[in-house]
Amino acid sequence: MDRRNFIKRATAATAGMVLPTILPSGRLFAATGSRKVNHVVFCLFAGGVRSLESIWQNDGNLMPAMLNGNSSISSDISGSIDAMPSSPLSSPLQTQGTLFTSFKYDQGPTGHFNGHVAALTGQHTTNALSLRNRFPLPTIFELYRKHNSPQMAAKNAWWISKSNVLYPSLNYSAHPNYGASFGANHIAPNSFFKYAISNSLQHDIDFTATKAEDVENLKAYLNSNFNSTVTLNDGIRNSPAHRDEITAWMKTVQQQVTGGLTGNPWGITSGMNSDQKNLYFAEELIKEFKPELTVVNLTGVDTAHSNFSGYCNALHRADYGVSHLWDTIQNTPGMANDTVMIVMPEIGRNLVDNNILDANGRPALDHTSGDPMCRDIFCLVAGPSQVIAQNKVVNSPGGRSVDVVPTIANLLGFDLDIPIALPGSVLQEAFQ
Amino acid sequence: MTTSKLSAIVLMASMTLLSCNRNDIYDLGTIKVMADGEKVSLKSDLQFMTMAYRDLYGVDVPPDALDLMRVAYISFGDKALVIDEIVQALLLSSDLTLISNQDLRADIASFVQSSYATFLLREPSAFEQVYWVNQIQDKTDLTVRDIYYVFMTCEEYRYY
Repeated sequence: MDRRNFIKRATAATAGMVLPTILPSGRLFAATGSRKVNHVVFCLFAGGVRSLESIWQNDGNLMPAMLNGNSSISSDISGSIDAMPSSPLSSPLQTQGTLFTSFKYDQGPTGHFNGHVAALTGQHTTNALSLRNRFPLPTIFELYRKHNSPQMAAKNAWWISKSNVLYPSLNYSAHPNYGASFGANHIAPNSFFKYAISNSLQHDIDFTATKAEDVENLKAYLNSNFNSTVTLNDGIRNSPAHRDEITAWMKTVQQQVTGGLTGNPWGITSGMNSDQKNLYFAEELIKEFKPELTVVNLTGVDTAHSNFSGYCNALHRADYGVSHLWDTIQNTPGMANDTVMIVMPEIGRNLVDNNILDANGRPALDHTSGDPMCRDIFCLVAGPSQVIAQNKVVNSPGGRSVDVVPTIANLLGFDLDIPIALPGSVLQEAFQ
Repeated sequence: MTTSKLSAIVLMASMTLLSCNRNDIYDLGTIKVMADGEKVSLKSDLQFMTMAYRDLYGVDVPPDALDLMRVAYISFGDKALVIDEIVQALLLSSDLTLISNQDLRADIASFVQSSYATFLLREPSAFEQVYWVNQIQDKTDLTVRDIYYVFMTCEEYRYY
Protein backbone atom coordinates (compact mmCIF):
# COMPACT_ATOMS: atom_id res chain seq x y z
CA MET A 1 0.00 0.00 0.00
CA ASP A 2 1.42 3.36 -0.92
CA ARG A 3 0.94 6.62 0.91
CA ARG A 4 -2.03 7.63 -1.21
CA ASN A 5 -3.88 4.40 -0.57
CA PHE A 6 -3.10 4.64 3.10
CA ILE A 7 -4.62 8.11 3.29
CA LYS A 8 -7.55 7.06 1.15
CA ARG A 9 -8.23 4.05 3.33
CA ALA A 10 -7.97 6.10 6.50
CA THR A 11 -10.28 8.77 5.11
CA ALA A 12 -12.80 6.24 3.88
CA ALA A 13 -12.86 4.57 7.25
CA THR A 14 -13.68 7.89 8.88
CA ALA A 15 -16.16 8.97 6.24
CA GLY A 16 -17.98 5.67 6.43
CA MET A 17 -19.05 6.45 9.93
CA VAL A 18 -20.64 9.79 9.22
CA LEU A 19 -21.71 10.10 5.60
CA PRO A 20 -25.19 9.21 4.45
CA THR A 21 -25.73 7.51 1.13
CA ILE A 22 -24.70 9.63 -1.80
CA LEU A 23 -27.37 10.13 -4.42
CA PRO A 24 -26.80 8.83 -7.94
CA SER A 25 -26.13 12.38 -9.06
CA GLY A 26 -23.19 12.44 -6.69
CA ARG A 27 -24.85 15.10 -4.55
CA LEU A 28 -26.20 14.73 -1.06
CA PHE A 29 -28.66 17.57 -0.77
CA ALA A 30 -29.74 20.44 -2.92
CA ALA A 31 -29.32 24.10 -2.06
CA THR A 32 -32.49 26.12 -1.62
CA GLY A 33 -33.15 26.47 -5.34
CA SER A 34 -33.35 23.66 -7.84
CA ARG A 35 -30.51 23.07 -10.20
CA LYS A 36 -30.90 23.39 -13.90
CA VAL A 37 -27.67 21.51 -14.56
CA ASN A 38 -24.94 20.00 -12.40
CA HIS A 39 -21.96 21.54 -14.19
CA VAL A 40 -21.05 25.01 -15.40
CA VAL A 41 -17.98 25.92 -17.43
CA PHE A 42 -17.27 29.62 -17.78
CA CYS A 43 -14.77 30.67 -20.42
CA LEU A 44 -13.40 34.19 -20.15
CA PHE A 45 -12.79 34.53 -23.81
CA ALA A 46 -9.52 35.63 -25.09
CA GLY A 47 -8.30 38.89 -23.56
CA GLY A 48 -10.21 41.86 -24.89
CA VAL A 49 -12.39 41.15 -27.91
CA ARG A 50 -14.17 43.75 -30.01
CA SER A 51 -17.66 42.90 -31.10
CA LEU A 52 -16.72 44.27 -34.53
CA GLU A 53 -14.33 41.39 -35.22
CA SER A 54 -16.30 38.73 -33.33
CA ILE A 55 -20.07 38.78 -33.58
CA TRP A 56 -20.38 41.53 -36.21
CA GLN A 57 -17.83 39.81 -38.43
CA ASN A 58 -16.41 43.00 -39.96
CA ASP A 59 -13.45 41.05 -41.34
CA GLY A 60 -15.45 37.93 -42.10
CA ASN A 61 -16.37 35.13 -39.77
CA LEU A 62 -13.20 34.63 -37.77
CA MET A 63 -15.10 32.37 -35.37
CA PRO A 64 -16.79 29.77 -37.58
CA ALA A 65 -16.82 27.06 -34.90
CA MET A 66 -18.81 29.23 -32.54
CA LEU A 67 -20.79 31.65 -34.70
CA ASN A 68 -23.19 31.26 -37.58
CA GLY A 69 -22.11 32.84 -40.84
CA ASN A 70 -20.05 32.06 -43.91
CA SER A 71 -18.56 35.42 -44.76
CA SER A 72 -15.00 35.20 -46.04
CA ILE A 73 -12.11 36.55 -44.07
CA SER A 74 -10.83 39.87 -45.44
CA SER A 75 -8.28 39.20 -48.14
CA ASP A 76 -5.60 41.49 -46.71
CA ILE A 77 -5.41 39.53 -43.43
CA SER A 78 -6.45 36.06 -44.59
CA GLY A 79 -2.82 35.04 -45.08
CA SER A 80 -2.20 35.71 -41.41
CA ILE A 81 -4.97 33.41 -40.23
CA ASP A 82 -3.77 29.89 -39.45
CA ALA A 83 -5.84 27.02 -40.75
CA MET A 84 -7.57 25.08 -38.02
CA PRO A 85 -8.85 21.51 -38.30
CA SER A 86 -12.52 21.10 -39.07
CA SER A 87 -14.70 22.03 -36.14
CA PRO A 88 -15.49 19.01 -33.99
CA LEU A 89 -19.05 20.35 -33.71
CA SER A 90 -21.65 19.47 -36.32
CA SER A 91 -22.94 23.04 -36.28
CA PRO A 92 -21.63 26.27 -34.74
CA LEU A 93 -21.80 26.41 -30.97
CA GLN A 94 -24.23 29.29 -31.25
CA THR A 95 -26.90 26.87 -32.46
CA GLN A 96 -26.69 25.06 -29.13
CA GLY A 97 -27.43 28.13 -27.08
CA THR A 98 -28.31 31.77 -26.78
CA LEU A 99 -26.11 34.58 -28.05
CA PHE A 100 -26.37 37.98 -26.38
CA THR A 101 -25.04 40.49 -28.87
CA SER A 102 -25.48 43.71 -26.89
CA PHE A 103 -23.76 42.63 -23.71
CA LYS A 104 -21.86 45.26 -21.73
CA TYR A 105 -18.96 45.50 -19.41
CA ASP A 106 -20.79 48.52 -18.16
CA GLN A 107 -18.79 49.92 -15.26
CA GLY A 108 -15.20 50.17 -14.15
CA PRO A 109 -11.86 50.63 -15.88
CA THR A 110 -11.53 48.63 -19.08
CA GLY A 111 -8.50 46.63 -17.97
CA HIS A 112 -8.14 42.87 -18.05
CA PHE A 113 -7.95 42.45 -14.30
CA ASN A 114 -10.97 44.68 -13.70
CA GLY A 115 -12.87 42.71 -16.31
CA HIS A 116 -11.91 39.43 -14.70
CA VAL A 117 -12.85 40.59 -11.22
CA ALA A 118 -16.24 41.82 -12.40
CA ALA A 119 -16.90 38.55 -14.21
CA LEU A 120 -15.79 36.33 -11.32
CA THR A 121 -17.36 38.26 -8.46
CA GLY A 122 -20.39 39.81 -10.11
CA GLN A 123 -19.29 43.14 -8.63
CA HIS A 124 -18.23 46.36 -10.30
CA THR A 125 -14.69 47.60 -9.80
CA THR A 126 -13.08 51.02 -9.81
CA ASN A 127 -9.66 52.55 -10.28
CA ALA A 128 -9.04 51.67 -6.65
CA LEU A 129 -8.93 47.95 -7.43
CA SER A 130 -5.81 46.57 -5.77
CA LEU A 131 -3.43 44.45 -7.75
CA ARG A 132 -1.66 43.36 -4.57
CA ASN A 133 -4.54 42.36 -2.34
CA ARG A 134 -7.38 40.00 -2.93
CA PHE A 135 -10.75 41.49 -3.81
CA PRO A 136 -12.85 42.23 -0.72
CA LEU A 137 -16.03 40.57 -1.97
CA PRO A 138 -16.46 36.84 -2.63
CA THR A 139 -15.85 35.15 -5.95
CA ILE A 140 -18.29 32.81 -7.63
CA PHE A 141 -16.14 29.94 -6.35
CA GLU A 142 -16.65 30.91 -2.74
CA LEU A 143 -20.37 31.53 -3.22
CA TYR A 144 -20.70 28.13 -4.86
CA ARG A 145 -18.74 26.23 -2.25
CA LYS A 146 -20.29 27.91 0.75
CA HIS A 147 -23.93 28.12 -0.26
CA ASN A 148 -24.55 24.50 -0.98
CA SER A 149 -25.64 21.93 1.54
CA PRO A 150 -23.38 20.27 2.31
CA GLN A 151 -20.69 22.73 1.40
CA MET A 152 -18.76 21.76 -1.69
CA ALA A 153 -15.23 20.42 -1.78
CA ALA A 154 -12.51 22.41 -3.50
CA LYS A 155 -12.11 19.57 -5.99
CA ASN A 156 -15.47 20.62 -7.45
CA ALA A 157 -14.33 24.15 -8.27
CA TRP A 158 -11.39 24.98 -10.53
CA TRP A 159 -9.89 28.22 -11.76
CA ILE A 160 -7.66 27.48 -14.73
CA SER A 161 -5.71 30.60 -15.57
CA LYS A 162 -3.74 31.15 -18.71
CA SER A 163 -0.92 32.86 -16.85
CA ASN A 164 0.44 33.63 -13.42
CA VAL A 165 0.25 37.37 -13.81
CA LEU A 166 -2.31 38.61 -11.26
CA TYR A 167 -4.86 35.94 -12.11
CA PRO A 168 -3.95 33.32 -9.46
CA SER A 169 -5.38 35.57 -6.76
CA LEU A 170 -8.85 35.27 -8.22
CA ASN A 171 -9.57 31.85 -6.71
CA TYR A 172 -10.77 33.42 -3.48
CA SER A 173 -11.37 36.79 -1.89
CA ALA A 174 -10.37 38.58 1.28
CA HIS A 175 -13.94 38.57 2.58
CA PRO A 176 -13.88 37.48 6.24
CA ASN A 177 -16.86 35.16 5.80
CA TYR A 178 -15.45 33.44 2.73
CA GLY A 179 -11.77 33.34 1.74
CA ALA A 180 -9.44 30.41 1.26
CA SER A 181 -11.72 27.95 3.05
CA PHE A 182 -14.18 28.32 0.18
CA GLY A 183 -11.78 29.05 -2.66
CA ALA A 184 -11.30 27.17 -5.89
CA ASN A 185 -8.38 25.02 -6.80
CA HIS A 186 -6.22 27.15 -9.01
CA ILE A 187 -3.84 25.96 -11.67
CA ALA A 188 -1.91 27.78 -14.37
CA PRO A 189 -1.19 24.69 -16.45
CA ASN A 190 0.97 26.35 -19.09
CA SER A 191 3.41 27.17 -16.31
CA PHE A 192 2.86 24.24 -13.99
CA PHE A 193 3.22 21.68 -16.76
CA LYS A 194 6.34 23.17 -18.30
CA TYR A 195 8.80 20.44 -19.20
CA ALA A 196 11.38 21.37 -16.57
CA ILE A 197 8.82 21.48 -13.77
CA SER A 198 7.08 18.31 -14.91
CA ASN A 199 10.42 16.56 -15.12
CA SER A 200 11.27 17.61 -11.59
CA LEU A 201 7.94 16.89 -9.95
CA GLN A 202 6.71 13.83 -11.77
CA HIS A 203 8.09 11.25 -9.35
CA ASP A 204 6.98 10.59 -5.80
CA ILE A 205 8.98 9.00 -3.04
CA ASP A 206 7.91 5.38 -3.04
CA PHE A 207 6.35 4.80 0.35
CA THR A 208 5.62 1.13 0.05
CA ALA A 209 3.92 -1.32 2.38
CA THR A 210 3.57 -0.15 5.96
CA LYS A 211 6.05 2.64 5.44
CA ALA A 212 3.28 5.02 4.38
CA GLU A 213 1.61 4.57 7.71
CA ASP A 214 4.92 4.91 9.54
CA VAL A 215 5.71 8.16 7.75
CA GLU A 216 2.33 9.67 8.58
CA ASN A 217 2.66 8.58 12.20
CA LEU A 218 6.13 10.05 12.52
CA LYS A 219 4.93 13.31 11.04
CA ALA A 220 1.98 13.33 13.41
CA TYR A 221 4.40 12.81 16.27
CA LEU A 222 6.49 15.80 15.25
CA ASN A 223 3.38 17.91 14.78
CA SER A 224 2.08 16.93 18.20
CA ASN A 225 5.24 18.33 19.78
CA PHE A 226 4.89 21.70 18.10
CA ASN A 227 2.46 24.49 18.77
CA SER A 228 2.38 27.82 17.04
CA THR A 229 -0.04 30.68 17.15
CA VAL A 230 0.85 31.69 13.59
CA THR A 231 -1.51 30.46 10.91
CA LEU A 232 -0.07 28.50 8.03
CA ASN A 233 -0.39 30.25 4.71
CA ASP A 234 -1.52 27.28 2.71
CA GLY A 235 -4.04 28.90 0.39
CA ILE A 236 -6.94 26.64 -0.32
CA ARG A 237 -6.89 23.15 1.14
CA ASN A 238 -8.11 19.93 -0.35
CA SER A 239 -8.95 17.00 1.86
CA PRO A 240 -6.13 14.44 2.13
CA ALA A 241 -8.01 12.03 -0.12
CA HIS A 242 -8.75 14.68 -2.73
CA ARG A 243 -5.18 15.94 -2.51
CA ASP A 244 -3.99 12.48 -3.42
CA GLU A 245 -6.43 12.26 -6.34
CA ILE A 246 -5.18 15.60 -7.61
CA THR A 247 -1.56 14.58 -7.16
CA ALA A 248 -2.15 11.36 -9.08
CA TRP A 249 -3.69 13.33 -11.94
CA MET A 250 -0.79 15.77 -11.90
CA LYS A 251 1.66 12.88 -12.19
CA THR A 252 -0.23 11.50 -15.17
CA VAL A 253 -0.13 14.82 -16.99
CA GLN A 254 3.51 15.43 -16.04
CA GLN A 255 4.42 12.07 -17.52
CA GLN A 256 2.53 13.00 -20.68
CA VAL A 257 4.53 16.22 -20.83
CA THR A 258 7.90 14.54 -20.35
CA GLY A 259 6.83 11.80 -22.76
CA GLY A 260 6.28 14.41 -25.47
CA LEU A 261 2.54 13.79 -25.69
CA THR A 262 1.35 17.34 -25.02
CA GLY A 263 3.20 19.27 -27.71
CA ASN A 264 0.36 19.26 -30.21
CA PRO A 265 -2.31 16.80 -29.10
CA TRP A 266 -4.93 18.44 -31.32
CA GLY A 267 -2.84 17.93 -34.43
CA ILE A 268 -2.97 21.51 -35.62
CA THR A 269 -0.65 21.89 -38.60
CA SER A 270 0.84 25.15 -37.39
CA GLY A 271 0.95 23.96 -33.79
CA MET A 272 -1.10 24.94 -30.77
CA ASN A 273 -0.84 28.37 -29.22
CA SER A 274 -0.84 28.91 -25.47
CA ASP A 275 -4.59 29.58 -25.31
CA GLN A 276 -5.25 26.25 -26.98
CA LYS A 277 -2.78 24.53 -24.65
CA ASN A 278 -4.60 26.04 -21.68
CA LEU A 279 -7.86 24.64 -23.02
CA TYR A 280 -6.24 21.27 -23.63
CA PHE A 281 -5.15 21.04 -20.00
CA ALA A 282 -8.60 22.25 -18.93
CA GLU A 283 -10.08 19.36 -20.88
CA GLU A 284 -7.76 16.88 -19.19
CA LEU A 285 -8.80 18.26 -15.83
CA ILE A 286 -12.50 18.20 -16.69
CA LYS A 287 -12.28 14.60 -17.89
CA GLU A 288 -10.63 13.57 -14.64
CA PHE A 289 -12.57 15.49 -12.02
CA LYS A 290 -15.81 16.52 -13.73
CA PRO A 291 -15.94 19.70 -11.64
CA GLU A 292 -19.27 21.33 -11.01
CA LEU A 293 -17.78 24.76 -11.56
CA THR A 294 -14.86 25.41 -13.90
CA VAL A 295 -13.60 28.79 -15.04
CA VAL A 296 -10.92 29.02 -17.69
CA ASN A 297 -9.49 32.13 -19.29
CA LEU A 298 -7.74 32.88 -22.55
CA THR A 299 -5.59 35.90 -23.25
CA GLY A 300 -4.11 35.44 -26.72
CA VAL A 301 -6.01 38.17 -28.51
CA ASP A 302 -4.32 40.81 -26.42
CA THR A 303 -1.64 40.85 -29.07
CA ALA A 304 -4.01 43.36 -30.63
CA HIS A 305 -2.07 46.09 -28.81
CA SER A 306 0.57 45.79 -31.53
CA ASN A 307 -0.67 43.35 -34.15
CA PHE A 308 -4.22 43.49 -35.49
CA SER A 309 -3.82 40.51 -37.80
CA GLY A 310 -2.33 38.49 -34.93
CA TYR A 311 -5.37 39.45 -32.88
CA CYS A 312 -7.67 38.09 -35.56
CA ASN A 313 -5.60 34.93 -35.74
CA ALA A 314 -5.74 34.47 -31.97
CA LEU A 315 -9.50 34.97 -32.11
CA HIS A 316 -9.71 32.28 -34.77
CA ARG A 317 -7.62 29.91 -32.66
CA ALA A 318 -9.62 30.61 -29.51
CA ASP A 319 -12.80 29.90 -31.47
CA TYR A 320 -11.50 26.47 -32.43
CA GLY A 321 -10.29 25.84 -28.90
CA VAL A 322 -13.65 26.61 -27.32
CA SER A 323 -15.43 24.33 -29.78
CA HIS A 324 -12.91 21.61 -28.89
CA LEU A 325 -13.62 22.16 -25.21
CA TRP A 326 -17.35 21.87 -25.77
CA ASP A 327 -16.87 18.70 -27.78
CA THR A 328 -14.81 17.22 -24.95
CA ILE A 329 -17.49 18.12 -22.44
CA GLN A 330 -20.11 16.43 -24.58
CA ASN A 331 -17.95 13.32 -24.76
CA THR A 332 -17.26 13.15 -21.05
CA PRO A 333 -19.70 10.92 -19.18
CA GLY A 334 -21.16 12.82 -16.27
CA MET A 335 -20.69 16.15 -18.02
CA ALA A 336 -22.45 15.50 -21.33
CA ASN A 337 -25.94 16.98 -21.51
CA ASP A 338 -25.59 18.20 -17.96
CA THR A 339 -23.31 21.20 -18.53
CA VAL A 340 -23.89 24.82 -19.41
CA MET A 341 -20.96 26.69 -20.89
CA ILE A 342 -20.82 30.48 -20.82
CA VAL A 343 -18.38 32.23 -23.14
CA MET A 344 -17.75 35.93 -22.66
CA PRO A 345 -14.87 38.35 -23.25
CA GLU A 346 -14.04 40.21 -20.05
CA ILE A 347 -13.76 43.53 -21.95
CA GLY A 348 -13.87 44.87 -25.49
CA ARG A 349 -11.35 47.03 -27.31
CA ASN A 350 -11.19 50.61 -28.52
CA LEU A 351 -12.99 51.76 -31.63
CA VAL A 352 -10.09 54.09 -32.42
CA ASP A 353 -6.78 52.44 -33.27
CA ASN A 354 -3.37 53.32 -31.85
CA ASN A 355 -1.54 53.87 -35.17
CA ILE A 356 0.75 50.84 -34.79
CA LEU A 357 0.60 49.04 -38.12
CA ASP A 358 1.09 45.31 -38.54
CA ALA A 359 2.64 43.52 -41.53
CA ASN A 360 -0.65 43.83 -43.39
CA GLY A 361 -0.89 47.55 -42.74
CA ARG A 362 -3.70 47.15 -40.22
CA PRO A 363 -3.64 49.43 -37.16
CA ALA A 364 -3.52 47.95 -33.67
CA LEU A 365 -6.08 48.30 -30.90
CA ASP A 366 -5.79 49.11 -27.20
CA HIS A 367 -8.59 48.87 -24.70
CA THR A 368 -8.01 51.54 -22.14
CA SER A 369 -9.21 54.81 -23.62
CA GLY A 370 -12.66 54.79 -22.12
CA ASP A 371 -13.90 54.38 -25.68
CA PRO A 372 -17.48 52.97 -25.54
CA MET A 373 -16.45 50.09 -27.82
CA CYS A 374 -14.33 48.80 -24.92
CA ARG A 375 -17.55 48.04 -23.09
CA ASP A 376 -19.31 46.18 -25.91
CA ILE A 377 -18.93 42.46 -25.51
CA PHE A 378 -20.96 39.34 -26.30
CA CYS A 379 -22.09 36.44 -24.18
CA LEU A 380 -22.86 32.97 -25.46
CA VAL A 381 -24.71 30.58 -23.17
CA ALA A 382 -24.72 27.02 -24.53
CA GLY A 383 -26.26 23.99 -22.95
CA PRO A 384 -28.79 21.18 -23.10
CA SER A 385 -31.91 21.96 -25.12
CA GLN A 386 -34.19 21.29 -22.19
CA VAL A 387 -32.42 24.02 -20.22
CA ILE A 388 -31.00 26.58 -22.65
CA ALA A 389 -32.85 28.22 -25.54
CA GLN A 390 -31.26 26.93 -28.73
CA ASN A 391 -30.03 28.99 -31.65
CA LYS A 392 -31.45 32.12 -30.10
CA VAL A 393 -30.05 35.62 -30.54
CA VAL A 394 -30.82 38.36 -28.03
CA ASN A 395 -30.06 41.72 -29.61
CA SER A 396 -31.81 43.89 -27.07
CA PRO A 397 -29.51 45.67 -24.64
CA GLY A 398 -29.51 44.91 -20.95
CA GLY A 399 -27.16 42.02 -20.35
CA ARG A 400 -23.99 42.85 -18.40
CA SER A 401 -20.88 40.97 -17.43
CA VAL A 402 -21.90 41.13 -13.78
CA ASP A 403 -24.93 39.02 -14.71
CA VAL A 404 -22.81 35.91 -15.16
CA VAL A 405 -22.30 35.25 -11.45
CA PRO A 406 -26.02 35.27 -10.57
CA THR A 407 -26.69 33.21 -13.68
CA ILE A 408 -24.19 30.54 -12.65
CA ALA A 409 -25.66 30.57 -9.16
CA ASN A 410 -29.13 30.10 -10.61
CA LEU A 411 -28.00 27.26 -12.87
CA LEU A 412 -26.45 25.47 -9.90
CA GLY A 413 -29.39 26.21 -7.64
CA PHE A 414 -27.91 28.43 -4.96
CA ASP A 415 -28.75 31.96 -6.11
CA LEU A 416 -31.39 32.36 -3.41
CA ASP A 417 -28.88 31.47 -0.70
CA ILE A 418 -26.39 34.25 -1.43
CA PRO A 419 -26.44 36.87 1.34
CA ILE A 420 -24.15 39.28 -0.52
CA ALA A 421 -25.78 41.96 -2.67
CA LEU A 422 -25.07 41.37 -6.35
CA PRO A 423 -25.72 44.14 -8.88
CA GLY A 424 -26.41 41.71 -11.71
CA SER A 425 -29.43 39.66 -12.69
CA VAL A 426 -30.00 36.12 -13.88
CA LEU A 427 -29.94 35.88 -17.67
CA GLN A 428 -33.43 34.47 -17.86
CA GLU A 429 -33.65 35.01 -21.62
CA ALA A 430 -31.13 32.22 -22.10
CA PHE A 431 -33.36 29.68 -20.42
CA GLN A 432 -36.09 27.58 -21.94
CA MET B 1 21.08 29.25 26.06
CA THR B 2 24.59 29.21 27.42
CA THR B 3 27.59 29.53 25.19
CA SER B 4 28.89 26.17 26.29
CA LYS B 5 25.59 24.50 25.41
CA LEU B 6 25.56 26.07 21.97
CA SER B 7 29.16 25.04 21.47
CA ALA B 8 28.27 21.50 22.41
CA ILE B 9 25.48 21.41 19.84
CA VAL B 10 27.68 22.80 17.14
CA LEU B 11 30.43 20.34 18.10
CA MET B 12 27.94 17.48 18.01
CA ALA B 13 26.72 18.50 14.59
CA SER B 14 30.27 18.90 13.39
CA MET B 15 31.19 15.45 14.62
CA THR B 16 28.24 13.96 12.82
CA LEU B 17 29.18 15.92 9.78
CA LEU B 18 32.73 14.59 9.90
CA SER B 19 31.74 11.04 10.68
CA CYS B 20 29.38 10.93 7.74
CA ASN B 21 31.71 12.87 5.48
CA ARG B 22 28.78 14.76 3.94
CA ASN B 23 29.32 18.42 4.61
CA ASP B 24 26.46 19.42 2.35
CA ILE B 25 23.92 17.41 4.32
CA TYR B 26 24.71 18.65 7.79
CA ASP B 27 25.46 22.26 7.06
CA LEU B 28 23.44 24.25 9.56
CA GLY B 29 23.09 27.27 7.40
CA THR B 30 23.17 30.75 8.80
CA ILE B 31 20.46 30.44 11.44
CA LYS B 32 21.74 29.38 14.82
CA VAL B 33 20.52 26.29 16.59
CA MET B 34 18.34 27.07 19.59
CA ALA B 35 18.05 24.64 22.45
CA ASP B 36 14.49 25.61 23.26
CA GLY B 37 13.45 25.41 19.62
CA GLU B 38 11.32 28.51 19.94
CA LYS B 39 9.93 29.49 16.57
CA VAL B 40 7.67 32.46 16.26
CA SER B 41 7.66 33.31 12.56
CA LEU B 42 6.19 31.53 9.61
CA LYS B 43 8.66 31.15 6.77
CA SER B 44 7.54 33.00 3.69
CA ASP B 45 7.06 30.79 0.68
CA LEU B 46 10.31 31.96 -0.84
CA GLN B 47 12.12 31.49 2.47
CA PHE B 48 10.76 27.99 2.76
CA MET B 49 12.03 26.95 -0.65
CA THR B 50 15.38 28.68 -0.18
CA MET B 51 15.92 27.10 3.23
CA ALA B 52 14.77 23.67 2.10
CA TYR B 53 17.31 23.69 -0.67
CA ARG B 54 20.08 24.86 1.61
CA ASP B 55 19.22 22.36 4.31
CA LEU B 56 19.52 19.50 1.86
CA TYR B 57 22.27 20.63 -0.46
CA GLY B 58 24.30 22.77 1.87
CA VAL B 59 24.61 25.61 -0.62
CA ASP B 60 22.45 28.53 -1.63
CA VAL B 61 19.80 27.65 -4.14
CA PRO B 62 20.86 28.49 -7.71
CA PRO B 63 18.60 31.08 -9.37
CA ASP B 64 17.30 28.69 -12.01
CA ALA B 65 16.34 26.09 -9.41
CA LEU B 66 14.66 28.72 -7.27
CA ASP B 67 12.77 30.00 -10.28
CA LEU B 68 11.50 26.52 -11.09
CA MET B 69 10.27 26.07 -7.54
CA ARG B 70 8.75 29.55 -7.51
CA VAL B 71 6.86 29.02 -10.75
CA ALA B 72 5.57 25.64 -9.61
CA TYR B 73 4.53 27.20 -6.33
CA ILE B 74 2.58 30.12 -7.74
CA SER B 75 0.98 27.97 -10.46
CA PHE B 76 -1.01 25.85 -8.07
CA GLY B 77 -3.54 26.95 -5.47
CA ASP B 78 -3.18 24.21 -2.85
CA LYS B 79 0.10 25.36 -1.36
CA ALA B 80 0.51 22.43 1.02
CA LEU B 81 0.18 20.07 -1.91
CA VAL B 82 2.70 21.85 -4.06
CA ILE B 83 5.17 22.23 -1.20
CA ASP B 84 4.96 18.49 -0.58
CA GLU B 85 5.70 17.96 -4.25
CA ILE B 86 8.66 20.32 -4.17
CA VAL B 87 10.11 18.66 -1.08
CA GLN B 88 9.82 15.25 -2.71
CA ALA B 89 11.45 16.56 -5.87
CA LEU B 90 14.35 17.98 -3.85
CA LEU B 91 14.78 14.69 -2.05
CA LEU B 92 14.62 12.63 -5.22
CA SER B 93 16.99 14.75 -7.27
CA SER B 94 19.95 12.87 -8.66
CA ASP B 95 22.05 15.87 -7.65
CA LEU B 96 21.44 15.16 -3.97
CA THR B 97 23.85 12.95 -2.10
CA LEU B 98 22.39 11.55 1.09
CA ILE B 99 24.29 9.65 3.71
CA SER B 100 23.89 5.93 3.29
CA ASN B 101 21.31 3.97 5.17
CA GLN B 102 24.17 1.89 6.57
CA ASP B 103 25.66 5.03 8.10
CA LEU B 104 22.25 5.89 9.51
CA ARG B 105 21.91 2.47 11.10
CA ALA B 106 25.47 2.58 12.39
CA ASP B 107 24.81 5.62 14.57
CA ILE B 108 21.12 6.31 14.90
CA ALA B 109 21.48 8.61 17.89
CA SER B 110 23.79 10.97 16.03
CA PHE B 111 21.55 10.89 13.00
CA VAL B 112 18.54 11.93 15.06
CA GLN B 113 20.45 14.77 16.68
CA SER B 114 21.80 16.06 13.41
CA SER B 115 18.38 15.82 11.76
CA TYR B 116 16.85 17.95 14.50
CA ALA B 117 19.71 20.42 14.22
CA THR B 118 19.55 20.64 10.45
CA PHE B 119 15.81 20.86 9.95
CA LEU B 120 14.34 22.08 13.21
CA LEU B 121 17.33 24.08 14.41
CA ARG B 122 17.18 22.64 17.88
CA GLU B 123 18.16 19.69 19.95
CA PRO B 124 15.69 16.89 20.39
CA SER B 125 14.35 16.59 23.90
CA ALA B 126 15.45 13.51 25.77
CA PHE B 127 12.06 11.96 25.10
CA GLU B 128 12.18 12.83 21.41
CA GLN B 129 15.66 11.39 21.14
CA VAL B 130 14.60 8.08 22.64
CA TYR B 131 11.37 7.98 20.61
CA TRP B 132 13.16 8.50 17.31
CA VAL B 133 15.96 6.09 18.04
CA ASN B 134 13.42 3.42 18.93
CA GLN B 135 11.30 4.14 15.87
CA ILE B 136 14.27 3.92 13.51
CA GLN B 137 15.52 0.77 15.18
CA ASP B 138 12.09 -0.87 14.99
CA LYS B 139 11.18 0.21 11.47
CA THR B 140 14.04 -1.22 9.58
CA ASP B 141 12.80 -0.19 6.14
CA LEU B 142 12.84 3.53 6.95
CA THR B 143 15.48 5.28 4.89
CA VAL B 144 17.33 8.54 5.29
CA ARG B 145 15.14 10.00 2.53
CA ASP B 146 11.95 8.94 4.31
CA ILE B 147 13.03 10.53 7.55
CA TYR B 148 14.12 13.75 5.90
CA TYR B 149 10.75 13.87 4.18
CA VAL B 150 9.04 13.61 7.56
CA PHE B 151 11.11 16.44 8.99
CA MET B 152 10.66 18.68 5.96
CA THR B 153 6.90 18.27 5.80
CA CYS B 154 6.16 18.66 9.49
CA GLU B 155 4.60 21.86 10.75
CA GLU B 156 7.61 22.95 12.77
CA TYR B 157 9.70 23.10 9.61
CA ARG B 158 7.40 25.81 8.27
CA TYR B 159 8.51 28.17 11.06
CA TYR B 160 11.73 29.74 12.17
